[in-house]
Amino acid sequence: MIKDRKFFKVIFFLGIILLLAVVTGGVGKVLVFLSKGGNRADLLNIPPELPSEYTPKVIWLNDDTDTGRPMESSNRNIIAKDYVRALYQRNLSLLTAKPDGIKEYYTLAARPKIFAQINLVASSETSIERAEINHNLKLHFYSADGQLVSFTDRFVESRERVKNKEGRLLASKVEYADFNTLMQLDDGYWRIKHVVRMPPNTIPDTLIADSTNRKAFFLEKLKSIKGINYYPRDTPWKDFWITYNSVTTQKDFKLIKKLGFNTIRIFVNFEQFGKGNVVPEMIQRLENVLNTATANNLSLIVTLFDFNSNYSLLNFPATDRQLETLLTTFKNHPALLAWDLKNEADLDFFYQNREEVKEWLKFIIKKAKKYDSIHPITVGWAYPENADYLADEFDFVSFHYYKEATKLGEAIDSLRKKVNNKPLVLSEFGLSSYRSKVFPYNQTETQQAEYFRDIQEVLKQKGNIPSIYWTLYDFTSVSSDIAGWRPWQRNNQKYFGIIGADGSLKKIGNIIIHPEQIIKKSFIESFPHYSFLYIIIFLFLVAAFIKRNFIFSLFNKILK
Amino acid sequence: MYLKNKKYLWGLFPIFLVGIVIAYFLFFQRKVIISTSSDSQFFFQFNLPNSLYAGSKLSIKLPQHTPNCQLLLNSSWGTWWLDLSKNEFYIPDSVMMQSGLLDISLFYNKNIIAETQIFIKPLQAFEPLETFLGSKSIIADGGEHWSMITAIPTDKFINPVYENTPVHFSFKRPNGNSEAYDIPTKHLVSFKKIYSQQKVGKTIISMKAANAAGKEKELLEIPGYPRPFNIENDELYPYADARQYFKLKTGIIKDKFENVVSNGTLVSINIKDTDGSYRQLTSYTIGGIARLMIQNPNIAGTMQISANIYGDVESNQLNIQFQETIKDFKISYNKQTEVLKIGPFIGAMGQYIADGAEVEVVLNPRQENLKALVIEGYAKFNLKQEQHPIGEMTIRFAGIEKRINIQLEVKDKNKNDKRP
Repeated sequence: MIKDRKFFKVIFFLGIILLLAVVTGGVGKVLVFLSKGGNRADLLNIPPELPSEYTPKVIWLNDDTDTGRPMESSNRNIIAKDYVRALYQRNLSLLTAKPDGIKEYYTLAARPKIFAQINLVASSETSIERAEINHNLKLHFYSADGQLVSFTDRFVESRERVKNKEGRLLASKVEYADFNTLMQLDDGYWRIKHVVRMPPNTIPDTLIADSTNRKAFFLEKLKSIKGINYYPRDTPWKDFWITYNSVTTQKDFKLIKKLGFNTIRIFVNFEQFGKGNVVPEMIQRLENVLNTATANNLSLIVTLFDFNSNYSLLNFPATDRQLETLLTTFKNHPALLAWDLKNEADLDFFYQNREEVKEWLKFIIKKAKKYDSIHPITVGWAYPENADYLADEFDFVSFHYYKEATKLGEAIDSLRKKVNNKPLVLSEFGLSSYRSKVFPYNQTETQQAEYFRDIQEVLKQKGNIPSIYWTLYDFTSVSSDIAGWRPWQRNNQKYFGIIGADGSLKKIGNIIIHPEQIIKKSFIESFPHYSFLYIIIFLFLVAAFIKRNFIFSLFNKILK
Repeated sequence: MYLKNKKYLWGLFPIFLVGIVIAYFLFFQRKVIISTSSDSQFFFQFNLPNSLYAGSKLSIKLPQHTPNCQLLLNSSWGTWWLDLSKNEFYIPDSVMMQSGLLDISLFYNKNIIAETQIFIKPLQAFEPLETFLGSKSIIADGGEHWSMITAIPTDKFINPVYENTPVHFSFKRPNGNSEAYDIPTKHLVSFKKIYSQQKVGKTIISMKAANAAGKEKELLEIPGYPRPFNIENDELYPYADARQYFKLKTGIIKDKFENVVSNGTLVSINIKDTDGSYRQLTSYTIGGIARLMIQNPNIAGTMQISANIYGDVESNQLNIQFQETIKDFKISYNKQTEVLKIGPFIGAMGQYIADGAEVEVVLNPRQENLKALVIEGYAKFNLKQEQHPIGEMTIRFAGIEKRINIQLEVKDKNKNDKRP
């Protein structure tokens, strides 16, 4: 009975504390909401601008000779924007099966044609993802009073996916068509009045395909790379670009050169670069990285779309825009060696819908070849088992390897069989020298150095496969959204470096500089750190077991 | 003994926790498996016409005992997904009503097993014919300005009709001429520019495509920019009596094609008065003529009048001479009644001037103004009421100034004070 009371007392106090926390938090949220106030722009009731996530490419082709009235460039932009927005609204409605917003972008007579689709989607319990990737608008007619406009949207690439309610893919399709479109200025908004789908008229591609020689030059250069994956010590992953420091880059690149590397693999964060509308500052930062590499006589492999795991069709135009911006901006930069279109895309096979990932990869490869036909392209696969996927599309096959060095040879052999002698690059490998005091992780610096040497040995045997080590530094901090919340995973990520967090060269560094050096093992090193903890726990438990009566009486005293 | 005392189980708790951590660590790591699957396909080919009229019925027949398939349709307005539950399936009317290229793809197990394209042709133009006129009014300046009439013929399912469908435009112009054009549709619209002519008025527009008529439209041709014009005065009494009015009138204001300007055109009239001050008056035209009544000045001299429209189109300048309305007047003062009598005021034609003219008396020492109206030829000032000494004073009327010095008897102020 007394014990029960004590128990309930504890529960009661804990409950009160929890309740207070919830109430304070809740009231705080309400106060924050109330003190925010409204947005003044809401008063104007302006329909939303084109969202930054949806950025299909819009090109105005040459106008017809007699368009009725010449088009003003400002109106041209407004019309294109409203047209894209209208199609986006239709696509959103198909996705959500809700007709909200349609009336803002379609004239009265046109609306039923959209509503019929939405009803069908709603009744069939499916959702349709649809996105237009590009718009090539050719103006035919613009009325004298500026109220009507007729144009053809030529060779539109539309992509569709049909999914059931559980999100399982039922079908996907790419279609090309022309659309004769008539828009009307209605209540101050350009609304779609008529659309007629026509067979596609291809637009002559102005890009010159004669680039094989230059590509061969880069592929030849790839064979002799000795690379390293790079993030600064204090600002890895998501902190790299937003807190970019050119001085650090300069210092680190010099150091990389000193260590004997000639290639660096870096990562471009899709969201931080502004999705479809690439932020000019970010372009400047990337340019600075490339320039610094040039100054130090280093080559760069740029990995794009890092941390982008949105494979929805509505994200396709944004990825396309970013790809176009970066590739066309930097394709003539001397430091650039190759484009890695996506880091470890095969990991997304498990977390995302595999079909969708594959569709996106195919899409982005096609576009990348269009925007930069000079530089080799690839995707760095997380596992050599998956690296044969789309191998024909790539200029070289790139894969990552973090398992036992002894099994690498097998993996390379089986991969070679599947990829028909495409050049191979091991674009990430490494071993963490993480010695946990709690968790059973005990990889010493010696092991790390040995691992590096072993891998190099295997690569040499298999025909001098170029490799890129992960990574330059031991990181001071790794956020949990990179490596997972589990502390042993997070801490493990910190110790892959050649240079320690304190700036000292680790054993692996010596091996890199002097490959012939013999790796010395110390006797104490062979004792895992965590074993000490468990010995102490064990001793404590034994002591507690022997003195159990004393401990229980102590507990009782405290509770009383 | 230990079993009786269950407290010892607490001792196992930390070991249990450590066990969980190790177990989690060992067994719950993500395993990587990639599998590839291939699906069997069956053979099917569409046997459908190349083109159909909008609104037709289209059925798709599948062979007996085919597995469950789906249709993906790409029409003008979007994407349609249909589950084929039966062997014969009708494509929904809402799809068949849309003109344009229709893509039909048959899906089985995520794969396209058959594809075809049908062009859905629009029907004949159906009423009402949608027409748009802009601008609604243009200046009749002989073809410099133009308006545009646009027709968007659609069929009964509101699809734009075929390219090159003729649309008949007919105009009735202000000068009585009729015009008619047959213009084929191009890129969904058929349009005609209407160039202005020289006569102001309405152009009545009618349109017809096939049997579908459109609403009557009106294009207004309005007069253009006015040309310089004349002003003249009328009913002038040329004396500066500050009482009579005279009429100012513009000639008929026209544009360069002799069209009278629109009613309500604002005319600004600038006047330099006989005393040298300036003022601006405004008037609006009616029937091309702007009229204004202007009061005669009170001082003789020349009044200069000119008019303009929009500050740009100028008229001639009018100079009007105003003569003095009186030459002289007399002043008399009655000491008994203490009344200052000014007059008689005799007009130019020997008459008393009109009642109500204002006479001004300035009491010079104090610069105090007194005013009185002329009634029956005379203006009277009752100086008795003024409780102050009066000396020299100035009398002004119609530009004539006279000075007199009247010494009034100053009343003994102490008289009143010494009342018992």
